[in-house]
Amino acid sequence: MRYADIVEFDAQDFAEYEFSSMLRKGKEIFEHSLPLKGKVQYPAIISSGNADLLRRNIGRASMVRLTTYETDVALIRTAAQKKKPLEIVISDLLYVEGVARARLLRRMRRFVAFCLSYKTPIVITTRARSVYELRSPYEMQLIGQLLGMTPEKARWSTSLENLEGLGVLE
Amino acid sequence: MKAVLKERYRYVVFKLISTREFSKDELERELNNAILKVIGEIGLAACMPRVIEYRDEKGIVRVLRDGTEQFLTVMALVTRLSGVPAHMMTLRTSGTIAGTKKKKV
Repeated sequence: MRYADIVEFDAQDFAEYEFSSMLRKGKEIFEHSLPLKGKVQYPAIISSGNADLLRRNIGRASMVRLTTYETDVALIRTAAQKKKPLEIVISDLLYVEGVARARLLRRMRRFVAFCLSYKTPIVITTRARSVYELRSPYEMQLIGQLLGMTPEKARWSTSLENLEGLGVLE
Repeated sequence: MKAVLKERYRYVVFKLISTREFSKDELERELNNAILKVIGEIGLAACMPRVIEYRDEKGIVRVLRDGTEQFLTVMALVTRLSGVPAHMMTLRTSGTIAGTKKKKV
């Protein structure tokens, strides 16, 4: 299986981490915060903390990122119907500690549980801003398992085939 | 001692990516602190890591087999050691020290 990740810095030696592809934000993939302003560049990730706003704009996105990970059944169901993947960002988990991390983990686990229940596609990314935040595909899969996925589902969520199959990449 | 009662270990090969150098003991202490912070005392008791070897940013940690997965998850969540940005990247896991030296096919 080939693996892919989305990063926010100019990653060079990604082969060492066993990735086949590294999508750099602003170069190979574009993030648009809602409300959308101007032209949307593709492949596009739309992100917001407002699930309702995301749901209304889901048709214009290749991928969706709910920054709060609040469980919104309407968004999760719409994403499943339109086959738009929801992004789980590992770096969100890295820089919080203690009770804040526990609360975030709980929210993410519930979010993932609903996604699995509604068969909504999930993509796990690191969104690393430096080499210290970069994680290997195996480490990403372990975090996927921590969030309640099966090993197979976690592996598939980090794969390039998943992104290609969902039409995020061609 | 019955064979089933023998403690089983896994050996994890890692690469440390950091801005500063760490000694073997310091690394083990920081690793224990990180585990305590994430999975607590019960989690630490389940994996009991021990740095067997550490040289040129690469090393081997011995962990109890039953706590290996928990240990690897904690390693993935570590972002700082001794207050500096650091990441311990897992390269491979093996049941024997000899196995860690073998080349990956």
